[in-house]
Amino acid sequence: MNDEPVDPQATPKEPRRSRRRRVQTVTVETEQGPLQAATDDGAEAGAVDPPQPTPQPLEWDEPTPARRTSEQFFEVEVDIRQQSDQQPSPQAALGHFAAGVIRLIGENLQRMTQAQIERVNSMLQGVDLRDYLDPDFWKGIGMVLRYQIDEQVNFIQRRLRGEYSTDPFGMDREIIEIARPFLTFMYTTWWRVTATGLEHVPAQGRALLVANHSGVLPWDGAMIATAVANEHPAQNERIVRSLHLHWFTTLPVIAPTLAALGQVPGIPENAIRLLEQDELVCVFPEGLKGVGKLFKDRYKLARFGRGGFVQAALRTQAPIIPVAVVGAEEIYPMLANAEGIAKLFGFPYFPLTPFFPWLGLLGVIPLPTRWSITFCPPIATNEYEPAAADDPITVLALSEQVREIIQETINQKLAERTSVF
Amino acid sequence: MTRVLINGAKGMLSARVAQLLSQQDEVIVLGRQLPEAPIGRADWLTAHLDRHQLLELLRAEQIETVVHFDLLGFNEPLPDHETTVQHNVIGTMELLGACRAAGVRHIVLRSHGWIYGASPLNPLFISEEHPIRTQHYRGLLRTLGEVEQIVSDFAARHPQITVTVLRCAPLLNPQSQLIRYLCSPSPQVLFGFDPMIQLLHVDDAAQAVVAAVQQPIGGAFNIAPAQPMPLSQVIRRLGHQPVPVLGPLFDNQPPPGWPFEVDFLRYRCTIDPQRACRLLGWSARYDMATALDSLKPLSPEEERAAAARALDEFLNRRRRTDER
Repeated sequence: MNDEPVDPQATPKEPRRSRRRRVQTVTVETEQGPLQAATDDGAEAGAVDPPQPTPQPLEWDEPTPARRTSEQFFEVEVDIRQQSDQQPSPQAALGHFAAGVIRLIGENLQRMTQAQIERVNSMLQGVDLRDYLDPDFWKGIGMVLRYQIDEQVNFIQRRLRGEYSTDPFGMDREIIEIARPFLTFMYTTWWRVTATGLEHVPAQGRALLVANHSGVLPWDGAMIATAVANEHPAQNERIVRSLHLHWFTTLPVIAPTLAALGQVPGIPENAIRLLEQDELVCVFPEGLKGVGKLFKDRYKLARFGRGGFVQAALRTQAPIIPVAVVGAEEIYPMLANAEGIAKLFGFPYFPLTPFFPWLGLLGVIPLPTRWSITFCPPIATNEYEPAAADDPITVLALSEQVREIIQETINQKLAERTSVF
Repeated sequence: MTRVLINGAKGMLSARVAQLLSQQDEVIVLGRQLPEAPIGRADWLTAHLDRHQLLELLRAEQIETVVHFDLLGFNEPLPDHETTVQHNVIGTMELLGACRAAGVRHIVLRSHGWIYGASPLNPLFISEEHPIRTQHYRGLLRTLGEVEQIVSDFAARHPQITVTVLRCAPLLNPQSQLIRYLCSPSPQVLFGFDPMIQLLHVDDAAQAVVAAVQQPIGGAFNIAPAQPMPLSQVIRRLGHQPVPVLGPLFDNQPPPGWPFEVDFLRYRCTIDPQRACRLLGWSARYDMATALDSLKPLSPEEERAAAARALDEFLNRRRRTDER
């Protein structure tokens, strides 16, 4: 999807910023000639006098930044807030309001495409974003806000006309982009995930991620996908196609959402088809026994199904990458499984945690534990014949090998861990 | 040159197939009414033949290939169960019997791509070996399941006759009940579900039948566009907004006008046309977006452009016939 050159500085330390930083490098390269991009709206803003010296000197490296990214908007917001704190009260109120608007624009900018960011920048050409007492500031800001609203409306109208595309399995990149900020928030702020070994995940071509499953709701799959999308060294925003329990297909709202996010019902044919199309597939062989695990059984891997995932990997000659997730077991400490209620609703399990169902929907908020996700070195499958998939001995031995690797990695990570939170 | 009988004149598909096949084969269209669209150089017979008359026709014309389209339910709402069984099931049995007696070499049957049933356990793309599950269905799919059973038993018992079954995804035929439902001002869908569906352009379906007639390979073929589309997107592309309703989640009754089981509004039943691609060399030439756009009413400018194109094509054809 993304063919931009990779920024060598984009180390995977700050995942939320690394995506945007690439945008920034591209804009810096094209810093010259902003006027030619100025359209009728932008020309008006561009015709403003050169920026007057601001009342207070600020520590800003560039005198007037020609191109702005959301990061810069956030910096400007902080500056304005600090500056307005020293002003008398009516001006301070205006200053805080201006800072809020700048923040809003910055947040909207994060969701915009490169061309749209260019256009916003051309509108703000020559406007000093710190001088909120200048009428030109408000003119420029008003134009940008109107443009951003128009773009949102256009987007919704286009969706309502059905003008978007999905892949044959139902994955919708636009929906993924909408969900991404939330998942990134859960990843960086809520669970403070540390992902290691991402270099073992191929940037292209097929591979089968095999992970331990835990935590009642399949958050671990979402976090593995976020780790690969945000922190993979190749930064090509590869989408992990997780196989979910086919029971989720029967649930309203959840079924189409999972499909739009690129998740696929866990049926062997689907795994093989995805791998044949050189996708990165993630499976949880423990399945139901993993997610519905009790708190006292945490980090003890359940049986790895019947080795179906090994068969899929052998048939398609895809390398198997064991993944160990630590931290997800404690997000919903499931004390007991109310089987009677589960049977009544037709659920595979019904968790009783210290918070659910006693606190209702509040009990669905997961605990903010600290997570670590370890991607282990791949196990090659191309040394086997595809026919080995029909040999139960090979299949079960490989399955056991993967299980042991994950269990060992989990034990090691648990020993290193100092606190659950 | 093959001698082909097309049984069933109802619907656009039959006419399109006759038109395409008659360019190189000797084609007779047999139906209870006149064909709905031009059928090229094919000949036609408007009658309701009983089994003896059918045998007489097949023998007299030395038919080699029979294309069986004469099944109720594809184009019109089904009459009562008794009539349907009489027409679809008994009618097919009579046709098979006549074909065997007359020494027909190849039979092509049109079936439905949703014959596998909609279920959460379906793989995302169903291949031809997947079992057919229509016993608990009503209407068209149920009788089709029975017809397919009869046809596959017949094929197993008569290896000298090649039997080809084309399981076509629903056709984008404005007369069909499904398309009329999707084109209605506020089509109801199930709240919280949005399965992917495949809809096939009539021309693509006709090409598939022609390919099957010309290459007697036998067996079942899934015929569908490779890239499905979410149901809600289909409705939006046809110019309306889907109306989510809760009722069918509880009583399992399909919303009024939906001609299939309610399951098809909930789970996907998308089929894999790979076998047809590989063996027949067929693939859909229209993707779903283009095929759906062809159903939309044209704007005045588009209409003018289309008219110019059609006129050009017509004059070219006339000139070519004159030269001949």
